[in-house]
Amino acid sequence: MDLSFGIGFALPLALGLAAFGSAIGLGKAVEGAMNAIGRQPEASGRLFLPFVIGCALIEALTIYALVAFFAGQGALTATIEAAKAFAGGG
Amino acid sequence: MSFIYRLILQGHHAASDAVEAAGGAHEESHDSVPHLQNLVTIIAEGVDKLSHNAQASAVLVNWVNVIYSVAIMLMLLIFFAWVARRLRREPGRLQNSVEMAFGSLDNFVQDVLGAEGRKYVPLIGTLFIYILVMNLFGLVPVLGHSPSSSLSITLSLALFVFITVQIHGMRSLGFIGYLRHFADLPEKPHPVQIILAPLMFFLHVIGELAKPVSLSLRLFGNITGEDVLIAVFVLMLAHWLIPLQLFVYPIALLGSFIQALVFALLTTVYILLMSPHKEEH
Repeated sequence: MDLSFGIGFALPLALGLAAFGSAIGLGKAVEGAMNAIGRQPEASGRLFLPFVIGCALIEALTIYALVAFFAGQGALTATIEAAKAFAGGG
Repeated sequence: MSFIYRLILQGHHAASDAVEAAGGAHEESHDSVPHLQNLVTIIAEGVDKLSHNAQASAVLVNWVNVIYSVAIMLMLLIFFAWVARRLRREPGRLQNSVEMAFGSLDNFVQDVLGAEGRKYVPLIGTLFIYILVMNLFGLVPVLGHSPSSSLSITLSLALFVFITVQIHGMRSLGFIGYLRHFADLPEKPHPVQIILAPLMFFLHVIGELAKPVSLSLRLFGNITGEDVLIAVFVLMLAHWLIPLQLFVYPIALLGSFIQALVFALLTTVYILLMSPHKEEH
């Protein structure tokens, strides 16, 4: 088990965990919105703005994980090439 | 690699002699995330093959996002200037739809910011339309690439919003009021609030600095994810020339629209948070 295995194992797992957390958060947000619309259907227009903002803020955390995933992929390829160069040259 | 992949993927073209001799000044696309060709990279490839100058194509490839965002800006300017030039009392369909869009943006900003928020309608409307068109450009098959899939573009937009919000805060609250807003000190502060003021100041500053970071990363991550998704779908069945990416276009359209909306919405909300509150804390 070397560094590239570690990165390659952790990156998709990290993204999956982040998606799991945001799925739960978004589910609760949508549940709240559905409850509110059910209680007072004519307020659904006023609900739209806070709902969308809340969902965007929750989703942003998963997007940070996606960005870290792309950054980690760059590190992964660099690690693999460095290991190849090391094994080939050394 | 089949012929199709070499045609549509970046970085797989046969290098010209000059480029190989010069040590390859074009950008390395060895990352495992596939990127599709767009008009500028096609032109850069053509320039690479026709002229034996490695610098020209490298410049073109490096400045793709700026070229596209300036082109989109000019397109929007020309289009809206042309619509405004032929305003009539009884609007035709085009003028009517533009007026509807403008009216809904106007109403939305006024709902959130109040009557004096009208001066921010151009800013927020421009942000929304510009980011929406930038996002949608990535869905255009060969000619298009979304500039918002690069962190430089989104970060510059987010920094612009950040500076606008701070200047609005300083102007509407006064400089002393601006600092008091950061330290959460109302006009007649409770002694506990005075003691907690340095801590609150520090926390607020960090919260303010997190805003451009989150704005830029949210837009960048979403649009890059969309682009990569489309590229992966294209590459799945490209060998048999089946446009599988059409099935992912609805998600991409929804995502583009929502990201543009969220950017404009959050700008409005940040401006609102920096305005004088009328109620007691």
